[in-house]
Amino acid sequence: MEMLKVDSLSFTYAGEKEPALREVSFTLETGEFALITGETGCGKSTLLRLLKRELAPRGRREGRILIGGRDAEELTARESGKKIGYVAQRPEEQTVTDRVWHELAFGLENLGIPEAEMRRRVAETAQFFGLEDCFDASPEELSGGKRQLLNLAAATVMMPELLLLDEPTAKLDPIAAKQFLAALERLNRETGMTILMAEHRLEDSLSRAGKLIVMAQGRAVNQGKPREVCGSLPEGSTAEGALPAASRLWRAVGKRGECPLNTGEGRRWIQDHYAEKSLSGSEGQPAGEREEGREAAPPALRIRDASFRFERGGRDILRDVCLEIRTGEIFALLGGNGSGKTTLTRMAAGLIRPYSGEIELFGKKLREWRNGDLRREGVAMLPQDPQTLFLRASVREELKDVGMLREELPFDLHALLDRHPYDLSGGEQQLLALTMVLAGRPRLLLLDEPTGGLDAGWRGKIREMLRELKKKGMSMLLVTHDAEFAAETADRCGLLFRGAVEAAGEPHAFFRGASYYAAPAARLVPGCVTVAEAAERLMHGGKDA
Amino acid sequence: MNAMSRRHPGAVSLYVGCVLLPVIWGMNPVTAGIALASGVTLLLLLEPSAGRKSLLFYLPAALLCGIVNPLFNHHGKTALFFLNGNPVTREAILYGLVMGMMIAAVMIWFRCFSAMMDTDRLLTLTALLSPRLSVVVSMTLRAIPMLRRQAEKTREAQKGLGLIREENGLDRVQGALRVFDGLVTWGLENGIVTADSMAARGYGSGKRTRYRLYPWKKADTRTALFSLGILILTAASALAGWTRYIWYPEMISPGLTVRSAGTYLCYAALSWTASWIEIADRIRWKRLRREIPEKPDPGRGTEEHGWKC
Repeated sequence: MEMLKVDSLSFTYAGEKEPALREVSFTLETGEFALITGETGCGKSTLLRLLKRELAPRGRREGRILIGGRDAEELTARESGKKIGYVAQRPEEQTVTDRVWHELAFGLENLGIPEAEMRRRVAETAQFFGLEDCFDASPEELSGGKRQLLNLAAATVMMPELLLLDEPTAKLDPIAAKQFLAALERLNRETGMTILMAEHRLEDSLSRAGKLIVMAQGRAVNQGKPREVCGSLPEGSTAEGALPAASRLWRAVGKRGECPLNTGEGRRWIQDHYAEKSLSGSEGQPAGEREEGREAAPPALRIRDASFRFERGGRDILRDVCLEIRTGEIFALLGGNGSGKTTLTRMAAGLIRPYSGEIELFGKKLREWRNGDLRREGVAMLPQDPQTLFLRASVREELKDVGMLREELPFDLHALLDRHPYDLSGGEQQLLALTMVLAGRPRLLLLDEPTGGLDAGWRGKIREMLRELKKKGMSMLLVTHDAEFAAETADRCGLLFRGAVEAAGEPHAFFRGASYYAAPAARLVPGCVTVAEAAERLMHGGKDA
Repeated sequence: MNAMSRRHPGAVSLYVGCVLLPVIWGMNPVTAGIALASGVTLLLLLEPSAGRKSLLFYLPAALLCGIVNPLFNHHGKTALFFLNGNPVTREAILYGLVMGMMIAAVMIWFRCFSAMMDTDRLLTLTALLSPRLSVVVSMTLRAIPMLRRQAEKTREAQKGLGLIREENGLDRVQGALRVFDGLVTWGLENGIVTADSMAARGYGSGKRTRYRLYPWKKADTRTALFSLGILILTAASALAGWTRYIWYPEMISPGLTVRSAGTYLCYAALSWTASWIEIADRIRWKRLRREIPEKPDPGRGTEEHGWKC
């Protein structure tokens, strides 16, 4: 049976001329798990919101939406609340109440479900998602990943027939994202819930889905089984960057055999079609330490044996950290949540002080810098959440505040000058934040998770910008859990684990040893860190099948 | 976790209310004494070490009332001596002591009340008043830590930009204003996400029901009826004048009659109920523990060990 049928749906926001959606049509069978992908602003969110009556934006709508055979307009608020669940991107702001149990019960309370029934459903759901341990806790105490699981649980406790998710894993670290997707897959398989999820990174989700819809400029340009869509996407289309590394590699080397959708399938596919020697290969270029010659300049940042904890009796967040960032290099620091990455950047920025150890910036102890000089020509930090930088009503005012003149803008922001910072897309916000941070002309830039929640197009743009800055002599510490981005961008990478930098080296050397925290390309073809490199190796090092 | 905190928060509140109302309205030394003694018993049961320490504060404070009252209050007929030309009367001293006992009793009972109720249980009481109010309270409680965290993050980000300097007081005020400014915008913008999340889950779609974390049990009904019954009895007895004290100009006690003694006994039974429930609970646990074999069977342990080797 058709759970959802969207029939040539077009939508124009009130007050806009250009339609946000143009004649989108697709159907979902009951129990299907479908993904929508496309770059930021392609209309994914608009489409999802139109499917949920309460969230539908105002504007002119044409075409039809049928949910379980009934027009979406006909559903009452109660029916819509009961039948359609919705989970959005930001984990914190979606939580309504101050207790986990209340959050789970909230939707049922709203729908007026009798108490006995409510207790059963809350109990079942809490067990299904493993939330019993924190049932009495405040959502504030949960990690981002667990909190998003709570949001998923709170949406599914009403047993909706259709579940809509709008980039639910964009703000999670990779491990939490995988757990979330696993829970979602289990939900789909065990309860037969129909799921429609918008995502702009399909690395972990594509192999779980039964259908992929690709959107561009408000149109559904391509849809079908994931393998077919992977094969038929036009070369160089923006959605290509969203595909898993294995699928991209498959496309890059001539689409031989069946398209792999995850790393496991990818390795099998390489084994079947390419010679063994390309796998073990030459173990990567012995790129070595290329820039040994420039020892003369003092390092941009040198941290020696620094330890930090929040309270005297607490545990060490950072423990005897040693880290050196050379002038003019991009150093990427990887690590899971809670490994102390953010604390390390705060310490390097002089916002918090280690209780032991030494920090030097450009050969001068951090303590000896005058505060003004430090902020003006020393170090600047791009915080994880760019919204913490925005306090004004327009981009123009923000730039005026930091003293950035229009002529000096490092990036083209002219089109955005009169918009409210909060109305910008995630990528545009990151760009504005970067511009503001650069206003003080720092020589060392600390970037905390600059690609969090960005699509492939924006990640590429940010990468180009960082390279551009590097050419001008900027040194950078990039803190991220995006291994692929680190591999493509950084000169050296390091892994932070339990408060200490465990390994540091040039990306090829670094990822050769990594097994779990690796760029996907490095898992497919050892010794390579990017898909382009892997493709090169397969083309020239492999045999014909 | 004490025995009383397994009762419904409503029942606990009603019970404490019924113990304290006669104390507050009565001005009766016997009632105040019973409330004080039972309060001390309960406090020592619930919080043995912290309770003992706070008694060192409450009890002298009660005595102090007995000393201070006659200095300002010169009613009463029996002047004991004169201080600065003002009479210090026996009645005023007695009145002060009873007042001190009352205050100490109320404070100690409030300490006990908070030991039997945590924030969560207290909040369920708001839900008894109105289901909507409980949502608002819950949302507010969630918003406070969230805003605080965001304020801290904003302050640090702005400091990192060099837009907030914290070198002197003026800088600090300007910085705080800047952060507040940003926080308002952030709150409004992200409030939309929360509002969407509420709408998506059917908030305002009709009559609400309520998930009760603490269901009302039979024992709660018993406690509530018992408390109310004794409150009515005590009030009736006071209205009938059986337990009424007159303080000025001369203290007149109703004396110990069968009626007043009966009332006091009933009130004492009520006051010590919580302590009794706590003690009975402990005895039950002791007995249960005795039935559990003290040590695991030694034979099995070695067997397991052998298997591992």
